[in-house]
Parts: sequence; C-alpha cells; structure tokens
Amino acid sequence: VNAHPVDGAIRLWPVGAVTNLYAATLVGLAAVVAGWWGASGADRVSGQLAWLNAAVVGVVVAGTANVVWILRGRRAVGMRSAALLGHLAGDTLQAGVASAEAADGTPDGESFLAVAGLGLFHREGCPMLTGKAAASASADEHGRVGRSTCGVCRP
Amino acid sequence: MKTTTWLRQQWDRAAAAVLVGLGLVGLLLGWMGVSDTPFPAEQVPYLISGGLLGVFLLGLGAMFWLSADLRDEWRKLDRIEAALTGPAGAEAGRS
Repeated sequence: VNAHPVDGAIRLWPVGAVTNLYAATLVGLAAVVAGWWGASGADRVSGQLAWLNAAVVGVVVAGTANVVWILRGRRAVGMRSAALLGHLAGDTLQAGVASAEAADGTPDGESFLAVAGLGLFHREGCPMLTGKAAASASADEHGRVGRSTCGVCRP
Repeated sequence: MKTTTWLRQQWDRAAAAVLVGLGLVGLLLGWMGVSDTPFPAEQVPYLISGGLLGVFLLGLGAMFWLSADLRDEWRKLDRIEAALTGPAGAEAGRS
C-alpha cells in the first residue's frame, strides 16, 4: 500500500494504520469464532449470552477499525487534494501577474522618464524623449510633482 | 481485458465482491438455521456464526470497496501532480 515512503509526503495509509487494521480485524474475527465456539458448547441461553456478547464486541472492534481506516484514507486524499489545489492556485496567481504585466508592460516598481520642467512622464524608448535628457523616477514620484502620463507611450 | 488481468488490477474490488457474497450467504444460512429450531439455545450459535459473521464479512467487503475507490482517487492525484510538477514530484508524493 505504501510503496514509496518519503519524509514529509502525504501518504494514503501509513504502515501503522495497516497494522492496526489487520490486528483489529483478526481480533474481531477471533472473537466471533470464539463466541460461536463457546455458544455451541453451552446448552442454556444464560450460558451463551457471554459468548454472544464477545462476538458482538468482536464485530464492533473490527467495524470501528474499518471505519477509522476509511476515514484516514479520506483525510489523506483531502489533504493531498488541498495541497495540489494550493499549488495550482499559486501557479494561477503567478500566471495572472505575468499576464497582466505582459499586457500593460508595467511591473511594480518600474521607473519612468521625464524631462525636467515638463509635465509628462514616459516609458523608456518613447519617441517623445528623442534627443532630450531625461531623469528616471517612479510613477508615484512623477505624479507627486504634477506630471501626467504621456499619450504616446502610455506608461 | 482478461479476467486474470482484471483480478490483478482490481484485487480489492474482487475481494470486496467475494466478501459481500460470503456475508450474504452467511446471513441466509444463519436465518435458515435459526428458523429450523424453536429452541433459543440452538438458535444462538446460528445467530453468531450466520448473523454476526455475515455482518462482519459485509463490513469487511464494504471497507475493501471503499479502499479501492480511495486508491483510484490517489492515482488520479498522482497524475495531476505529475502534470504539475513532473514525474519526480509525483513520485515523491505517492504512497
């Protein structure tokens, strides 16, 4: 069942759970067989009730172990699904940011250029800057000194 | 698909089907034994060997079947993880 134990990896069923299931199932089966064997050897109902109880306890023990086994498996599947969904969500978020940056070409923190004394700021390479000495600053800084965006390069 | 191949791949579902079948047979035999005698002292052994053992086997069969479903889901997650992170990542997450 656990063919590739890896530290930190989510596992469907750990070895301990398999051992517990086998042990509880065998104990339950032994109790049922013992209960049948004991009840068959008693000739009065009063002498059979203890054996009947033992058999019922055996069924309950095995049933509980089986339910725990399934619940552990469901939990492991849920945890792994959640981990994969988190991984997917992270990838989607990164892809979304990259896509947005590709669309407008303005990653956070990018600098823009402006000529001293003029009221517009530009992207690097904007034809409006050709032949002019421009200083670099962030869009916020340009905005603070009253500059607006160039209509040609649209920063 | 050949029967032996199916049995090898779906051993847990095959075991579940066998156990459920045995459980139903046990319940039937227990009922027949109990209904054949009017004495409670003779009915109790049938109640245990037929009824309780039948319920025990039915529960075991259900557990095998649900385990098979969980293993199927786990294999699907292996494939999704392999698609996301490559075969090495899926191998690390598999158990």
